[in-house]
Amino acid sequence: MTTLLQLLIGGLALGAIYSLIALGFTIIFQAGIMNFAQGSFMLVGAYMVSYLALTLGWNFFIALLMAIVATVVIGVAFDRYILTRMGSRPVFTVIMVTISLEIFLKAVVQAMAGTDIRNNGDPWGKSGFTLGELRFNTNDLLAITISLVLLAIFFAFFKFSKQGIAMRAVALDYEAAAAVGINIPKVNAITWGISVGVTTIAGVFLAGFPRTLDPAMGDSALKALPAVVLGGLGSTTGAVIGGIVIGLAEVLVAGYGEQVNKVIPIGSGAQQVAPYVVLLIVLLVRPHGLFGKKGVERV
Amino acid sequence: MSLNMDDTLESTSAVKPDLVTSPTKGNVATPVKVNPWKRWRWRIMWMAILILFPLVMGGNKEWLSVAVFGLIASIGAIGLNVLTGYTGQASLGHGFFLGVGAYTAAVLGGPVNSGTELWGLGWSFLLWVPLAGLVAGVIGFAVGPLALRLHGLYLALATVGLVFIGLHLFSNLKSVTGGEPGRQFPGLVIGNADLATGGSIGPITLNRDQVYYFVVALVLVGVIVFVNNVMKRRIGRAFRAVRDREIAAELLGINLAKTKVTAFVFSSALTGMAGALYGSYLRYTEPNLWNMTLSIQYTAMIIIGGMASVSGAILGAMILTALPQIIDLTTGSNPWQVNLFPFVTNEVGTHGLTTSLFNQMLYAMFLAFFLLFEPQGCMGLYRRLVNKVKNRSPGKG
Repeated sequence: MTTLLQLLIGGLALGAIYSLIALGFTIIFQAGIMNFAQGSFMLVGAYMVSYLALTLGWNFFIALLMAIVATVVIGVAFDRYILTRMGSRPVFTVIMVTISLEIFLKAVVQAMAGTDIRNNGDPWGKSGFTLGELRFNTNDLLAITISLVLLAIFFAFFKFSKQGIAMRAVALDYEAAAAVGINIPKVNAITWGISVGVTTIAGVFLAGFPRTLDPAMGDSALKALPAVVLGGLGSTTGAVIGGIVIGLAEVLVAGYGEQVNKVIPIGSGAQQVAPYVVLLIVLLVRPHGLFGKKGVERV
Repeated sequence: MSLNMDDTLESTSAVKPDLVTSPTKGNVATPVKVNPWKRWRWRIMWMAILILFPLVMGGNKEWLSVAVFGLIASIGAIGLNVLTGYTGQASLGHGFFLGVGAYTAAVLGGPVNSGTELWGLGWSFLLWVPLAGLVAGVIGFAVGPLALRLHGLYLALATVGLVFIGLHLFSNLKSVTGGEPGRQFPGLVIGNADLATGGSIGPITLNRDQVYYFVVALVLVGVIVFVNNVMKRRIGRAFRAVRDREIAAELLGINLAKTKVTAFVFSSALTGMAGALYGSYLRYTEPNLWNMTLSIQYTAMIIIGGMASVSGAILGAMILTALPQIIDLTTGSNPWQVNLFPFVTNEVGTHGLTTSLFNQMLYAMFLAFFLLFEPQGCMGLYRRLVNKVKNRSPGKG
């Protein structure tokens, strides 16, 4: 029972981070783009924080702010100067352009920071407290809290603010939004800014999880894809719930993998692949996910 | 004057070609009568280059191995092009099929009693090359239904999932893949003769790379002839109809399910054969090789070379395979030790912008460039050039 509770805490913390990453994907999807470069934004952000906070000794939150500013500038510039040229090209073309950005940014990060694993030390050390037999790590709790706060802020923004309503309008009907006078490039820029900012924060927390940082971390952004699909593409509520489910699945498979292995041979390291199994099952059974709208196909 | 009319027709149809969804000009049968000698002239020239290259470059190991990798990648890229270019089904997961092909080859061709837990049947490569294609094709048939249910973005996501599930299987099926440490792949062996160590045919002595070169080139030529012929037949036209307008294709009486699954099977079978040859030429690899990066590379090949074009796939495969070698050459590994890109360091094990990172950057920039400005890839550039030359001197082309 203790193991289960302990795993649930870990799973929730990881799930909260996946929710943030999935939210990043979903927000950009509102602008009609599936951005495969989210992982590289996480990398850039995490490396910047690591460099500024640990090597230069800046305050963690100032470092985080600088990292967000840097990634948002890259994201908005990419949207403005490259993606707007894509016009109404097929989805797959846009995906490949974002993948080329991913490869490029990853190479830049590796050129500047080297390819070795960087010890991140995380800003809170191994601090935390024990309640009964349960261990609460500060990083876990902070990840959950900050995720919740960010999610609340985002939902309020999305529901009530003028820009949020404009974003939803653009997502719903691009042409009608333009017709009622919404400045679409501006809305898209804001969308990119928010999405990239959220992703950067997620990246910084993810770097605090194994407490080391290496270029392979960018790939964990892809693990949020199953969360996005499970929740339903384009659904923000779905992204959050999907993220938590995927986080829990990963941690539970990691915790109980050995016991399961005795009954069904799922192999070692199955937690890495569990999200993708969920992905394929969801795609086959219910491609529009839990909260997504079923697309109507126009001929 | 009929030629002029054709030219204008061609140039109007060449306006704004788009990736995946729109028809490619190169596939439209032109009503112009082609001089058969003209066609053969090109074929003979390419054949001559193909045959003479390894003989001339015999001593230059680096370029020869680039050529072999390029030819192997060409087979895989043509395979992917059947699915993505001709049938319009996005895939980011062909690294998985390469892996399936390679491990099929490893099991069928591996040593019988190796003293380890690794399986091996010790068959000749004449068997394992086609059988690798067959097994990959069967797995493609099993995965094909995904393509039936899913379109565009969703299909791309599903193929991403496929790669990761593949990686997990590859690192856990220890008796097939050797697990994390990896396994040895079989060489080109027939009976007791190991061609891979080199050998002599008549007066010509061939080294390992040259032997691989000719075997792979032979397979590639077979694949080219096969795919070109398939694309001219009913099923090939059905592929393109499905790509251009799925619902219209269905109305025309094309069996959507059958066509899509056929495309998947063809594509994965060709890719599987490429994987078998790739593993064999590499000699040894870890299961982690067959990851997203490899899959994306193949997709990049057909985008850079040219969608829905056999020559484009080959061109793209060659460009991306040769790129690291070209960068090495221009950053100091030349007879004059000149580094044309002073910001790139060519020392091994240093920090900063190394040649391999520079390669990644250039490759990303190529990819973005072609997606933005020429979605038909190098073949698109070539066609534009030909059109320009033709328009300038009417009546001569």
